[in-house]
Amino acid sequence: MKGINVVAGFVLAFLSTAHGNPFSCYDNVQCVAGNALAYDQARCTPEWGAFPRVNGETNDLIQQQLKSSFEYLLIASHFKEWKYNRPGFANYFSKLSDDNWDEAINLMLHMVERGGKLITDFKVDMPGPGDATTSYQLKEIEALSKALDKERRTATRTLHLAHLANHGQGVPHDAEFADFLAERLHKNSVLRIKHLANYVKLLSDIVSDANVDSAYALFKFDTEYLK
Amino acid sequence: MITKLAIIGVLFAVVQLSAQAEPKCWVGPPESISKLQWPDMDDECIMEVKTHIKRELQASLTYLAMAAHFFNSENFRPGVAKFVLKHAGEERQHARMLMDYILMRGYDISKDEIPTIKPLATSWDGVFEALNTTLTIEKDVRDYFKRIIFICEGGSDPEHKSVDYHISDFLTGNFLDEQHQGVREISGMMTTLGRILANTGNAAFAEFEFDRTLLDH
Repeated sequence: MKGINVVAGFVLAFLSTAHGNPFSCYDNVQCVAGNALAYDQARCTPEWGAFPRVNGETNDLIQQQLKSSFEYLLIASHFKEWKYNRPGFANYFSKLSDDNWDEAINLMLHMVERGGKLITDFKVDMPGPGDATTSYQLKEIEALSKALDKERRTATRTLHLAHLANHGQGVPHDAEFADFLAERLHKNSVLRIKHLANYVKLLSDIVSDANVDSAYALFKFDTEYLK
Repeated sequence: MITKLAIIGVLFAVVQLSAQAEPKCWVGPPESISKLQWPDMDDECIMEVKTHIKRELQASLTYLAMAAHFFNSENFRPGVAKFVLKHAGEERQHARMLMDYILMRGYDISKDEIPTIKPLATSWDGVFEALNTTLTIEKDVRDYFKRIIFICEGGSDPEHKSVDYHISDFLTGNFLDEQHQGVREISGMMTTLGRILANTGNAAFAEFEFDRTLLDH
């Protein structure tokens, strides 16, 4: 028993020294004069910190933002129909779509910089024609409230990912990735969510006022207030 | 007499109060427009255009996956990655232009137009294979546009019941031109790369050098 322990200790010591560490790029490089190069690509990736551990969750967040982007496009299209004709809302949701798209790509590029990659079955899951419950033919207040829910969900998910990257027992705490995500939230999500909540309140106030004609109130909201 | 006056007075007040605007959370399309029947596109033509939207988005997602693949250290070809990333944004713009066109012509977009979108692949065996995928996508899209124009100009109907000149003009001017140029550009790139690869022993180095030319594209 003691003999096995000694042998095991020796093997571990051998493995943990500079020579023969299976997790090292350098230790898996063999450049012998006159011979072809041998090296282990899998040990020489730019993965460090929270990658590849958070690769799956990051992919999920990218997919979620791409889905939001497509959904906002559909909502904007509804407001562009001639029968409904709310150009202010159409513009607002088009912009939400563009912003979510840009942020998704931004996150994807940063993930790749950190050594992450897209999962093999990467896709944007949308409710198909068979889904009878989801509709994008939304009324004004419904559209704003749905957007508020979506943005809050994305922001919370981003927080969760940052926490996942920066916490955990026995794993490196990845402040870089957490900071990248936090800065995204700071620059984009905070005001977006605040504005949406403000608009929901404003719209509900003005269409509930008995002294104001709702049609006129909605018209003013669409053409002037919603930016 | 006083009772009658009182009753008339109450009725009068009720009528006045109900004439005041009720707060409504939503104001739908007015009755007056329900009789307007102005959209003039042929059913088959609209269907063809609507079906194409998801193809553009699929192309966009495929290019995104390609960019992610070639920015990765394992297959690092930043020239290709930058090239297809730009195309990803363009394909999405095309989808938006098509949606705006349908809306302009008086039709609507439903969730059927954007179902679950998957990229054609998420990994490629080298730059030549990726360029081949790109060529296939651009070629197919070009052919779909030609088909849409064919259908919208009456299709195989010998009487050509409805010829939609505007959509033909719109697709030709805004899309077909770009498709033809794109296909020419990519096939030229494949010739250059294919020629180097066929005549060199070190494919990776050749690919890298070719990829560098795309960086300044």
